Amino acid sequence: MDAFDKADWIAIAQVVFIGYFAILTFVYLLLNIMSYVVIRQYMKDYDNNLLPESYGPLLPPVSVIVPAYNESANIIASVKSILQLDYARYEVIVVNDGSKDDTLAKLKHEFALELYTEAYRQQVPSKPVIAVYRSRNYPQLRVIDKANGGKADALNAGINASRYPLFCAVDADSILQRDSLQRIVRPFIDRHDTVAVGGSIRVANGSAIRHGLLTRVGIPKSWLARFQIVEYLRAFLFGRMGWSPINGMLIISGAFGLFQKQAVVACGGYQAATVGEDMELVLRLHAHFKQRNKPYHIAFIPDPVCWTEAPEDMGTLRNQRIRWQRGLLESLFKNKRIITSRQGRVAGWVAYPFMLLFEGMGPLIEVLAYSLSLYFFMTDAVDIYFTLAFVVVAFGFGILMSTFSLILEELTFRTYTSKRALLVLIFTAVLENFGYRQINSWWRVRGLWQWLRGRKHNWGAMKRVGSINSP
Amino acid sequence: MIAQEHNLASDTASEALLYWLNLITVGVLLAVVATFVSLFWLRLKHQKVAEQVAQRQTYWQQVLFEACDPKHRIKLDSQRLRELKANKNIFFWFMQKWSQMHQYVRGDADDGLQQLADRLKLETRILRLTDTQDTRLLIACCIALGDMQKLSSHAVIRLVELTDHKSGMVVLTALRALMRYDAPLALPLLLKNVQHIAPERLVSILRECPPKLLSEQVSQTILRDNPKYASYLLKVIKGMDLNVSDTFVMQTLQRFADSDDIIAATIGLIQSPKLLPLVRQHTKHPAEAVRIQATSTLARLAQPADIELLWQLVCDKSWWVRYRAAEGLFEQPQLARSEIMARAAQLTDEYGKTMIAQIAAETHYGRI
Repeated sequence: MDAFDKADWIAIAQVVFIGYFAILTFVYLLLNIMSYVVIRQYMKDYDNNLLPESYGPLLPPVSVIVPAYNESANIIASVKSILQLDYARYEVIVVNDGSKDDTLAKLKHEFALELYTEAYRQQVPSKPVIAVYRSRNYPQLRVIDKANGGKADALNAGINASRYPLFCAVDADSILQRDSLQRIVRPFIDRHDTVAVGGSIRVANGSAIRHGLLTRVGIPKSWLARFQIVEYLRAFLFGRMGWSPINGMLIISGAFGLFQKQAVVACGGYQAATVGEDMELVLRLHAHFKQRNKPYHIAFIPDPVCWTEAPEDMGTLRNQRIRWQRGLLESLFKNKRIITSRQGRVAGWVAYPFMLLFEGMGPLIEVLAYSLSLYFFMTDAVDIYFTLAFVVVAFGFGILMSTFSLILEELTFRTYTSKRALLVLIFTAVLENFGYRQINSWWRVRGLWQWLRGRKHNWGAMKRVGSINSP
Repeated sequence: MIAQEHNLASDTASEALLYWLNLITVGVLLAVVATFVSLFWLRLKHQKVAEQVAQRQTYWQQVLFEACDPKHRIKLDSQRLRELKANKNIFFWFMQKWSQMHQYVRGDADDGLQQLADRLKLETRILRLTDTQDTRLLIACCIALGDMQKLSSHAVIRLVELTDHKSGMVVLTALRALMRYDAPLALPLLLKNVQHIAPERLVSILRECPPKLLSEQVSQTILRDNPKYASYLLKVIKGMDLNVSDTFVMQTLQRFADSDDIIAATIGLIQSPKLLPLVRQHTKHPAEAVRIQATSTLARLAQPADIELLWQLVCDKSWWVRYRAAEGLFEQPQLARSEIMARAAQLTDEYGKTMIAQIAAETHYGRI
């Protein structure tokens, strides 16, 4: 009877894991195909899609909001890069969210800040503003000093202080390309119902930065950073690109995203009590427009418009991934109404369940699959061939997905130009499946556990290597 | 017996599963190898394509530079011409480059670029391209048409049609193109849509229009149309720093006597000291918006006798009126800073006193 039960149990586990794996493979392949088609189309007129400079004033003006908390290491380089953008009309609002380090002092010194009296319109809730500063040297730069309230709260303060109809949320550790704004604003020109646009984020580690601008793209020495390069390519080039044309994109990275202010204000702004405020806002935008049955579009551009510093030590990376996983689950559950909405469509009925099953619960199933495979193998419940075949398929599929994102990169921007870099990336795409991916899944399971326990969140301080703060 | 049968069935199922799993394994491994090979193949292919593109772009850029000299007869390569004719993307790229050249050149060079456009039948091809729903392509086409020195009636008609497009950017670029070519035709079309266009954008288009024509047409439209529309146009006039006649000011104030918004905007436009009595009168207007504009205008045109009125306005109940009045006092050439501070110290109105202190601090802004 015992043997019978065990066999049954194994069979069920096999069917569950293989079924899960088959659906995941199918959806990923579908996303890959969609990304491939869309990217080919996108690249057709890539060289032709910027307007001549003289037409700059016709482009919608943008408020760039940079929330900063203890960003002393990178804030100057980051703000300098933003001040050098090629865009006719934009303002930069740095929101110092009660930093405990010398972030504000550095800003005051570098940009010659002066106290500035101005009307502050409270359109979305945020903690009290202590002071507003204006730069003597850069008229378009203002710094808001406010009481600590978290990243979402800082972004809300930025929205309140912004003057233009579009706002761009940028992380303080981000380096933008000169044409970043021109590129990200394009979907707003193409479609009048666009309410938000996400940009592709790349890893800046290993690249050369001068005067706040990226001058040479390179491969970092750290393997952790290399793994993240492949991860970011995968996440942005097919993860998001695939969902974008069918209006199913549920995440816009907090590192760089452009939003229609009116739509965000109508939704109530960022939610201060969330870890993943970026994803939560996008989900709420979906829910808001679906509830009112209004046409809207959330777009994504694959251009490498924003570069960010990836953590190079295990501790920081672990905390980041745990936070991301908690943010994902928190955002999904806070906006669960879109799955039951009559207007749910792709975002509510396809993308949401996919995110919940494969991104939210995926790590748990993956860790379970590894553990059970090992257990079955150790107890001779399944033969070695079966275990080996399963492992090869799982790892092979992982490698396939990573290398496919390299193909998408090759088809589009070819950011890493040298053959050596390409070889390193291929090797990284293979290697990341042996250890890195599993550790990541484990961290994400911990994130899931923390979310279940309802642990309090904070800004998620990151140990900086300061790689983007070179002179 | 049943257990044995069950085990047998289970073994068979497992074998079948293993068979399929093996197949999938081979498939995945083959796919991985295929992607590796594709990656290198793509890299080689792209390097080759990139070289071709670079050569082509260099060639056409050279042609564009040479075209800037209208006396220079350019010999065009027949293969490149065929490419340009056959490939929409190449033409799109060329059209944008041709447009961009106009930003950097003037006079003769413009003529040279026009000659090149005529030789390549640019207008005809651009017009054909405008039969698209692609917004960006339409915008680029409108920009290029706007850079033409002469346009056929077909092009003008098409541009007029595009001023009704659903994309705001297409409408604006079409209007700007028309404005460059035929301002009297474009201006009424623009004024028809004016309330849908943001002031900064509107100003950038209106800058293409001769100021006199603009001032006249806008003034006529204001006196003809509804108040909401008129108020917006008045703000545009102010934004563009256009001159309006005293008669226009008087007529507008009479025509829209019941609209505070329009009165405020009109008072803000006054540039002639002859109308100072009118300005002084409006500093006592019950509407805050009117008082703010009247105070600003008074500060701008003030005669020595008006200083006392400005001091009274520093104690107005509206924060903005006080602000403008205090600002105005600091702008008066006959008033020394120390003089203002001394008089402010004697003010009994605390709000007025604070405002003078604020402006005193602000006028020191940026000084070390």
